[in-house]
Amino acid sequence: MNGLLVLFDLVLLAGIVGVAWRCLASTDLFRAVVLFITFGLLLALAWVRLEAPDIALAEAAIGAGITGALLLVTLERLRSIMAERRSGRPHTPPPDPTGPHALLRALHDPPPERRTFIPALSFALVVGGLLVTALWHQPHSTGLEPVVDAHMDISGVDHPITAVLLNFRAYDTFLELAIVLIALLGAWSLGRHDLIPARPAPGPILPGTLRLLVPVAIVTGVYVLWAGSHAPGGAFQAGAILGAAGILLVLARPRQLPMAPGVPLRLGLTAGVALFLLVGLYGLVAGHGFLGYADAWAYPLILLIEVAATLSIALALVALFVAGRPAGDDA
Amino acid sequence: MSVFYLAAALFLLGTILLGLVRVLRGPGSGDRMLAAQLFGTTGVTILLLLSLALEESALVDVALVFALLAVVAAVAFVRQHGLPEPPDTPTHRQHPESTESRESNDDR
Repeated sequence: MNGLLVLFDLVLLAGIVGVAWRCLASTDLFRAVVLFITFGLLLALAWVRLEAPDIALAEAAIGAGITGALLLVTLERLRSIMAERRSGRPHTPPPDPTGPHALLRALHDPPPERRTFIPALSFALVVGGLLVTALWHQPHSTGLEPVVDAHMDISGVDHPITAVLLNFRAYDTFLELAIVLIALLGAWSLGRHDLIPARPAPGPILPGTLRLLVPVAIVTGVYVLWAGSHAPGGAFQAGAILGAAGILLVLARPRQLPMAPGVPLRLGLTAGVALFLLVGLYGLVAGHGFLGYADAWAYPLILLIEVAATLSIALALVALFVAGRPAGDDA
Repeated sequence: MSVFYLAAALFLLGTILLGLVRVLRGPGSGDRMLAAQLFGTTGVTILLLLSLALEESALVDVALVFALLAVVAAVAFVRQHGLPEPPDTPTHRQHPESTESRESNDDR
């Protein structure tokens, strides 16, 4: 059993390193995107083997679902931008998918020259050596597990990861939510959203699939959010699943996106950070410290913050996928 | 029994590494994308086998999320590249009236 596990880990490790290498070295961008999707899958398996199912859940939702779709759409946008630059006139339909491999190569830098080999190798050896020496002499410590276990009864939840993320180290989670919001503001500051490049997909398969999948994804997202209090799951994972459901809806009708109402959209996007900040300030005033809760109120407050954070993360992911401020919105 | 589950998971991991040949060599975009989709299915199975072998029920949730969301990339791919139309099969271009009836079916 143990031998098999070691063998499984070694094969997985070889696969991850090999896929990462081919993904970075690929001159065909589409192949690199497919390799990146595969990389996400193998990475989720690695997180499982590292006994971190919470991160595996997030990696499954973001790596397998959202990043793949985001990169594929971005690649198509890049293609049309390059085609437009080349011909000097506006470009309407996406180019033939089987043809323009030469175009894809033109997007990529030429392969590295031979004389860069020795400097690159010595740089890698020096950095690798420094990393090994730095990591070799680790102080022996039992980690934070005993400390967290000792304080689980005042955390308000039954899952240690959620207790750390939303009670003991709530500050980190608060700043993570702020980063998601700032990323979206950065994307919006670059301009209005363009049409997502899309071809018609005739036949009943695509709408039928979406009709089946989106409700199931919403139920799963709510389940993962609820499970966060006692099992792997939580706001980030649930937000990613709901965001993926939203991306499916966007992909269903990319040409006729419904106009996002400005004020409710902005309220939803900021709900997570705003509510977290309010609760934190209340804790400061009430004498529990910034982002501290009264013991009796810990569970309801954590649940409230997680629901708001899930909504904000899901909306932010869909908005990042659409990219750019909503059209016709001048607020 | 868990030895059997682990051996099966290891075998499936091997099939993923073999399938990488199709991703690397192509030749078409569809070949690469379909290979990645099959990896998704295999990954779900590996996760379920690992959850049985390691007795960690939380992995079933990871498998569920995987199964649900692997399709997002496929939908994005179909949207970008369209559906293949083999040249020798009769397509809707030769039968405009049948296309219209199908589209009206979609609207309903």
